[in-house]
Amino acid sequence: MKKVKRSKKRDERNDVNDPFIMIPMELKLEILMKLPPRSIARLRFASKHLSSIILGKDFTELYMTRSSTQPRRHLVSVHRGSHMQLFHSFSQEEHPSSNSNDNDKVSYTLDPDDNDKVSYTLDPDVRYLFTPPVRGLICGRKGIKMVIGNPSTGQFVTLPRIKTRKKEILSVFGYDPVNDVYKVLCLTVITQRGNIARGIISRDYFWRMLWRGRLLCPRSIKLSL
Amino acid sequence: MSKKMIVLKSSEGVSFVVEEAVARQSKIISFLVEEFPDRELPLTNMTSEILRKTIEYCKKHVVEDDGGGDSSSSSSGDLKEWDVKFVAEIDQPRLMDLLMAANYLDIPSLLDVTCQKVADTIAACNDEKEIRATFNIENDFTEEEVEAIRMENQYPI
Repeated sequence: MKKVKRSKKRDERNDVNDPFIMIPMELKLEILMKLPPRSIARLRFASKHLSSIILGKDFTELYMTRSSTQPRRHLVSVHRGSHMQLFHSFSQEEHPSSNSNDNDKVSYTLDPDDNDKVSYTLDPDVRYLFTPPVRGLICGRKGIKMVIGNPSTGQFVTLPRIKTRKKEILSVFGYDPVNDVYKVLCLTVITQRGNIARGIISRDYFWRMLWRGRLLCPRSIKLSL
Repeated sequence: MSKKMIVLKSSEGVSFVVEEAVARQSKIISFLVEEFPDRELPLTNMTSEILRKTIEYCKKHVVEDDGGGDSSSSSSGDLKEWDVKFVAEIDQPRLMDLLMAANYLDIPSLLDVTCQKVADTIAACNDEKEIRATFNIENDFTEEEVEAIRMENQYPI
């Protein structure tokens, strides 16, 4: 009885005729590897099946390996006024087509004067401080708000707000190759009450308290992730 | 001048007589003709239409050893142009079939051209709706799920 049921299910799946379900995995990866990041970001919304491949380990690692062997692209953030930060980013060989989604707070355009330039317009009222990129991702913080983003695709993920009343926060963004996770370490410092510091670290989108205690010299503290 | 011919049979049972050099671009056929010479090769998962297309590609790409054949005279630039035209003329479902055929027969250059065409088609789509329509993909996301992913990926205010 069970057997009959199973084969029926398989027939139904064939009826769908979705080419991305029918072709073998290595061909799906082959096609995805030829796509610019922007298209991959779009394809993630196409179906659960494609989304699972794109977010899967096989593909992300393959894409990362290829991206890191290509020439780097420079990323510059220009804030209102003269404050400027410089980063570099991993690049892709093809120029993504310009796109502006109504739902996006980030608009993404190609510079008409320079084909290699892509610019994002961030919300001008929110000034994020960005970290240098780690494996192609950048991390920005404005007070207790933090985002991690992929400048190539324009995807930005918001981290939960840091629960603190303190304004002085030191943050570091890093990658842990052993456990294959990206982490953000934040130090919240109370300067008035004798340098009480609290270290919290992001873990599966939650903040985890690392320690709390007195710091002798918070200005020159060395952090390792 | 006699050239060695081999016979390939499609899923409909239609026989195609092809020069061995042409068919040998498929690594699997190349192996099979050595193992089983003078035998008709049944390609049961390929329709006549797709087999015809594949042979057309192989004929164009065959490199003849004696150098006297006219098919080897095309320069690599011309060949690339021909490839682009070749895949441009194929509609979406057949392109996928051809891609599968290239994979099955192990013809790396044809596989590369067809994968590139699929990637270009995806890249030309402006949003996920267009991608779904082009490739006949069923949208199995609920509106809430899409909204959740969008919120997650939105630049914060």
